[in-house]
Amino acid sequence: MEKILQKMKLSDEELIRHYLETQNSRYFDQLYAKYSTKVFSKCISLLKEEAAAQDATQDIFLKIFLNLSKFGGKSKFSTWIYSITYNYCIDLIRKKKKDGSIFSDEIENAPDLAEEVPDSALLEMEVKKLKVVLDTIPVGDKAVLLMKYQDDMSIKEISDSLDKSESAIKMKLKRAKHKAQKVYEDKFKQRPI
Amino acid sequence: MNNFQRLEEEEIDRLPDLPMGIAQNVNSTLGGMRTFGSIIELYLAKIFDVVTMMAGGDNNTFSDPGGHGSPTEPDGGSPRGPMKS
Repeated sequence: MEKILQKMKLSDEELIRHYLETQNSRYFDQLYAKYSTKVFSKCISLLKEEAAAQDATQDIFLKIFLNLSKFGGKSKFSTWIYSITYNYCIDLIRKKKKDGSIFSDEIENAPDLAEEVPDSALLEMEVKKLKVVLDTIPVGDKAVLLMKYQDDMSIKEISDSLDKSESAIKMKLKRAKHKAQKVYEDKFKQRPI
Repeated sequence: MNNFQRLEEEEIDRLPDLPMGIAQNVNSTLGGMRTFGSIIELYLAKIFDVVTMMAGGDNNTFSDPGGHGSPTEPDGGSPRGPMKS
């Protein structure tokens, strides 16, 4: 029976259903094996410390499995897991920071930005330069950019995940893109002599 | 695959191994919570009965809200309280 199950490629939804019905750790192991590396990678990317990222990964998986019955299947399971990951890391960073501000519009009283930075401006950056840019901008801005461009989450999914309105998310994305482009220009664009 | 996703792949390639203990910790914590939940589920009603009895109430109100008596008392059990002569 076990061998048959191992050969069968179950979907995330089937694994969740079987886990909830049987509480068998075999299904837990499969879901953990599938998503733990990505969750850990996101935690390191946002928290910057390996030990903190390991602790966060453990807490996030505990949270995921304790709330598994609440996963309604409205979004992809991966989207749900990454939402929990981003929220957990953002909360952790907020707690560490004294003023709790992690988005650029919370740090600066930025005026309304008239011009929208096109997606291509970000998507055409070299990977190494993109890493430098993402590591320089505020962590909240980095999180919304990763949600949008790395995890392909829609505005609705990001707004549900961060518990903010869609217009607030659009504004945060707009500011994050501006911030990223400004950092890119400051660091990598050659200035005329 | 765009540059954000390539960046993630590169970061995953450089990622240190995640300790095996994490999966075991999560699994054992979940197991512990399930056991604790089962114990609570099993004994909570009894605890309510004991508390109710200690407060001077009728413990049958909670454990037998329908007042149908226990299977060993097919007639619904004898009435509680002082017997009238």
